[in-house]
Amino acid sequence: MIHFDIAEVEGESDHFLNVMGQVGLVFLMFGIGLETRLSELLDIGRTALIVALFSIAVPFLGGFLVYFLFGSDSNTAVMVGTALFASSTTITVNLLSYYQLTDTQEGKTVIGISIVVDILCLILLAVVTNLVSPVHGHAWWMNILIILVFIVAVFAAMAHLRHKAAHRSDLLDRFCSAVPRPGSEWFVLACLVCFGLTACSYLVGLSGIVGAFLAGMFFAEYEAASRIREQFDTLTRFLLPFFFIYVGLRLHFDVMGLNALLMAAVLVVVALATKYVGAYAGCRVCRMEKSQANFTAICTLARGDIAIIVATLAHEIGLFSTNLYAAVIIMAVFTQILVPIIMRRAGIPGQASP
Amino acid sequence: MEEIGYLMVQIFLLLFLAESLGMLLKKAKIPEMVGYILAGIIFINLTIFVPLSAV
Repeated sequence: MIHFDIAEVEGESDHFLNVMGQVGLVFLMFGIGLETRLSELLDIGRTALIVALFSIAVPFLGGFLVYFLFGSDSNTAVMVGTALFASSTTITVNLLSYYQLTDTQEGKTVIGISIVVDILCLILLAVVTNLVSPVHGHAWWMNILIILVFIVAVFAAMAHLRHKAAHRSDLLDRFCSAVPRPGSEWFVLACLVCFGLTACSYLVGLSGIVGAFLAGMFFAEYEAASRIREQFDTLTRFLLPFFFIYVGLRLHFDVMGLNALLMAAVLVVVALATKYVGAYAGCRVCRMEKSQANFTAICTLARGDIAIIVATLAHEIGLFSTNLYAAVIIMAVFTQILVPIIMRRAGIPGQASP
Repeated sequence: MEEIGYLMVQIFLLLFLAESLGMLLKKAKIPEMVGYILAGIIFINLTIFVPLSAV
């Protein structure tokens, strides 16, 4: 059942504004996937993995320690750490797209890292929620196995298509040559693959945007990619604002006390500082230059959906008080507002090289 | 007015507010998305709208 009432959005993840926004996100990530070739993602695989591990570990420890030292029980502290470790790929990609940095080497590295962080976060989320509350995801090791099999299968299919594309003899190429002026046929095919992989992604317990990104990568090897991109851009432009509006609609000040605002202030500082330190350290371990490490670290500062999901789950099982729940939501929203401002202050838009 | 009519008015006003704020912030060289989020915050906290069930 989809909810339509704008004045009643709290706790309604199936609200129509959220549904439209989520479809916009899917199109956005599909478009980014269209610009990312498999070889490019594999090139940065090791770097992305190391940076992702650092940028997950430091915020988790930061959140855990702050709440544990303030006297919370260890389970609550674990969930606070979990809410802090996930970056918002959506915000990162949207900002890079806004500043026209998705085509740059630095931009592609950041997107690769964000995707790896997203996958690792969802795997860790399955583990942590099981440890804290065994009711949720009792077969967590099975979930992890399914996610890994799904990712390996998609990459294997992509590598197979890439090999076929080199010999120009596969089904898509025949389809391409049969359509003299790629138009709606390509768009329909792209939509089917996009929503198909997004649905599969949800089914295996991953975020839908990972599937959409992978679907985009399927078409990246083909000449029609730029035309498909143009067709998706219009839809993305219309639908994406709904996602951000919905984020704002979650912040109803009536249900928040002063404690929530104080907690949120602490969380925002811890979230930004630990994510920056973690990502920067990871980049430096991978021998990135200081300017590129700074660029990458700042781009990954925003929190989003996963923090809100963790807060909702922890609130439902009684680990988070209403104030702490509200504080995490404020933290997620405010980091999304602050990161573009920090990026501009740091002169990020002018830093990347083509 | 039927419920669908109220819904359309709400969507129009919400989008108008979001796009206006987005354009204002874009002029200040801040991404439009910040304007959209702020529009959502302003919208829900000014209680411009009552729930449809109360109409």
